[in-house]
Amino acid sequence: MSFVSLRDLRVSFDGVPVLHGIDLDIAKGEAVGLVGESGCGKSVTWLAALGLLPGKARVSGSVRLEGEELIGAPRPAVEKVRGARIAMIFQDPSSSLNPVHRVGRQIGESLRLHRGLRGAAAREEAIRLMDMVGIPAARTRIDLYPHEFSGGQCQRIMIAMALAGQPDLLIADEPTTALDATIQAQILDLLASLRRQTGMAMVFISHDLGAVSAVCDRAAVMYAGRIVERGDVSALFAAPQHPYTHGLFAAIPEIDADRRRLQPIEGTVPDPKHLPPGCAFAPRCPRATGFCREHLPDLKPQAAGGEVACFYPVSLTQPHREKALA
Amino acid sequence: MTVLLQAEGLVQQYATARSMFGATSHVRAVDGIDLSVREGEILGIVGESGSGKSTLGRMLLGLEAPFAGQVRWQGRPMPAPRTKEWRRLRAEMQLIYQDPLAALDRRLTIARQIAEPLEIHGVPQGDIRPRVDALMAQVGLRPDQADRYPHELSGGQRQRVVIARALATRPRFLVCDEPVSALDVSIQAQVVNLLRDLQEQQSLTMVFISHDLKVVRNICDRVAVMYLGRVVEEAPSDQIFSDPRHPYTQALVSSIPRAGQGLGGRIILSGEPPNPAQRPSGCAFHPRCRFALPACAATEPALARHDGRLAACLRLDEPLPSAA
Repeated sequence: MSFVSLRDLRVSFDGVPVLHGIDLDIAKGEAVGLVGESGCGKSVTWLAALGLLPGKARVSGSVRLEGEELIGAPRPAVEKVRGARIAMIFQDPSSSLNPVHRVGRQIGESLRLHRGLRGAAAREEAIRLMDMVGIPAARTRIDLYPHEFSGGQCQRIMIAMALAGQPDLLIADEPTTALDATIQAQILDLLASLRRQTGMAMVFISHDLGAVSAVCDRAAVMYAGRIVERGDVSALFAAPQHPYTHGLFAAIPEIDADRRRLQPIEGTVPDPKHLPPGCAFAPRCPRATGFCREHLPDLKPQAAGGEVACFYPVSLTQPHREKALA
Repeated sequence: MTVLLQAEGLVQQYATARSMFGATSHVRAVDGIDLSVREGEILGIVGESGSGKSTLGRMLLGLEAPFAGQVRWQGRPMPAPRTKEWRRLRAEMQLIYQDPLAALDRRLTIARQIAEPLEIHGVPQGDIRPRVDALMAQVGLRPDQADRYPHELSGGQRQRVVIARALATRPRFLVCDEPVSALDVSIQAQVVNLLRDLQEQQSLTMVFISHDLKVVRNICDRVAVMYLGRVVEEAPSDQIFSDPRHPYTQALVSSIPRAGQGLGGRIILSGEPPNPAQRPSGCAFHPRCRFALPACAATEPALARHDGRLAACLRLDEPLPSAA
């Protein structure tokens, strides 16, 4: 049985639906990537699952954690899960930390809430966690304030706070986007080694396809509030089948390729208030027909592996990036 | 190719108050840069935050007066800011910023924003509207968008407005400071292609500042890598990404996540980007460098010609293990 399972998760803001029924299973210990452009619903999915959306959001569907329903559950039940079983880290570490509290106290707060540790025991554990996430001289720096750390170190401290509850699942929402390239590499490495040490599962939300492929086993691609394609990372990256995924890969310049013109996806992401009646990608899709503009494709298993929501998926006879396969 | 713009020994220094009683200390954001931009080329400037990329860009445009050194535009020294000659030069050189929403006036329609530089530089009233229409068509905006406001457009469309406005005065030189970093990947490619077309059709000269090495690789002819206010390596784009020589460039290039390659084969730098207020002695990169020797902490390496490129490293002449 999967550890967390989402079924038909829907979210609307002020009557405008932004998430149109997400089904997703996360097994114990696996790393799943969620890919897509801004506004496609990657973050909203998990904010809704953990009850972190503002009051005006209407959430329906089901999120089960080892069989226990979270949507509509009483607040104390959700709070026992949040942080302790499922923890979340965000893009901008400096705005997620409280600037007027020492970092040790902020990590200590998680330890007290989720594990009942206090005093010297909490302090020792906070130092151990800071060591674990690679903060040098943790023992002497535990009483510093967030502004005394660099951006990469603040993200490490956020990760230490998330680990304080010994979660079974870590939701990492664009954890490296705000960081410099060399620091990004350090944080990706840290997340991968923490997974090896603790065996926790991870959901890695990112628009950086390279980062997703580096740390995840499986990935799902989202567009306009729906999952349009998912599968094993290696298959997905070697031969994307949905025209959107295909277009996304073609739009990203390759560091090893020649300097040819990029192939953008023409047009823009649709406004959630005025979604096209059929497939939401049809207005930008080079393969779309009249049928696509009127009918909505379901996410269906493909003969070639993976699942795709498209009437005319890109077939494997048109391989894209032969170089990556070679 | 003729040199359009030349920077000689550029230094920018800012004063920072250290403590209530302590003396003010100085931070050198840009610390001695020699650079030339040739007519019609796109020069990329890469480096991590705090390496001085944006400060350098502003100095190349003459928007900031250098603390030391000088910028020469077509062989002549840049006039002092806010003088008459300086204002005239504004029409020839323009800046494109990262965040298009912040760069636009949200109370003006798109057409008014693009018309503004034309009015400032004295284009006759009757010629303005046709010119605005032509500019909008050139950057791929629809005529019906002329009367829209910035908030009614998407991020990519806003960046097109910023580009149209920058092109209004028919500049010869553009500094693009992280022009696509705030855009989604599918839109990024549209804007990168637009900049490329402009360079090819109008032989615009550009300095393209970015931390996104993949985009830089795609659009730039030549690349300068900055570390703590100095250029540590400068080479043609193909060369710098396929065969980086400075240990910092090697780490930077290897840190780019590649689709389908996993985490193997990367150089993970230890430590954080250093603080410009506490510049390490000798080579500023030595505390994070895999190849550092005691000599690296003592001697500042000069940017010197090496195997078809410029690089600043003491150990370049030794056979180094190449980056994976």
